[in-house]
Amino acid sequence: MAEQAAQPTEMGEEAPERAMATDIIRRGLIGGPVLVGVCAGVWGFDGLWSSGYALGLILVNFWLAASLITWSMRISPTMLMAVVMGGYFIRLGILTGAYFLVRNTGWFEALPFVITLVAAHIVLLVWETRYVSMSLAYPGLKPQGARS
Amino acid sequence: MLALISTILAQLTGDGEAGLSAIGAGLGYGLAAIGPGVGIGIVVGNAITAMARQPESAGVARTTMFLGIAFTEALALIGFVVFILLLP
Repeated sequence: MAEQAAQPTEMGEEAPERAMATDIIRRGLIGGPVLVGVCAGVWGFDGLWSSGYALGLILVNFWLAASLITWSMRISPTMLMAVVMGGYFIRLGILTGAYFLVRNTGWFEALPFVITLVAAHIVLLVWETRYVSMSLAYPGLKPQGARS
Repeated sequence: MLALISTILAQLTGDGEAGLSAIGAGLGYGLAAIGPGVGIGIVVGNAITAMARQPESAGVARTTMFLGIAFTEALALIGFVVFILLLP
C-alpha cells in the first residue's frame, strides 16, 4: 500500500518533458532568428518585432506547458489531468491576452505574427519529434548525457 | 465565453459588418478550442493509464504525452490565427 502511494512521486522524479522543452527553446533560439529575419525582410521593422514577439510567446508556451506537467506529476496523476486541461485554457488565454496587449500598437503586424506563431510551433515540434523518435527507436545511439 | 466576449466586441465596434466579423471570430476560436481540448484529454488519459500499468516506462509515456499535447495544441493555434485574421 505504501509502495503504491509512493508511485506518483517516483514517476515525478525524472522530468523528460522539461528536458524536451529546454531543448525546444535552445533550438528555437538558434533557428528562430531565421524566421524572424525573413519576416523582417518582407515587413520591415514591424515584421521583425511582431515575429520576434510571436517566437517569444511560443517558447514561453512550451516552457510553461512542460513546467506545469513536471510540477503536477510530483503530486498525483489526477493533478496531472487537471493541470494539463486547466493549463491548456490558461495558455490559450495568455496567448489571447498577449495579442490584445499589442494589437493596437504602431509596430504590430498581424500576418508575420500569425505566420511565426504557427510555423515556429510546428517546425520546432517536428524537429524535436525527429530526435525523440530516433532516441526511442535506437536507444543505444542516444548521445551520452542526453535526455530521454 | 468567447462568443460572449465577441458579442461584446461587436457591440463596442457598432459597425454591423465588423460586429458580425467579431462574432464569427469569437465563435470560430471557441469551436476550434473544443477539439484540441478533447484530444488533449484523450492523450493525457491514455498516458496516465500507460504509466499506471507500467510505471517503469513512465519516462517514455511522458515524452510521448508531451509531444502529443503540443501537436494537438497546434490545432488550437490555427483557430487562434483564424480569430486574429477575422477580428476587425
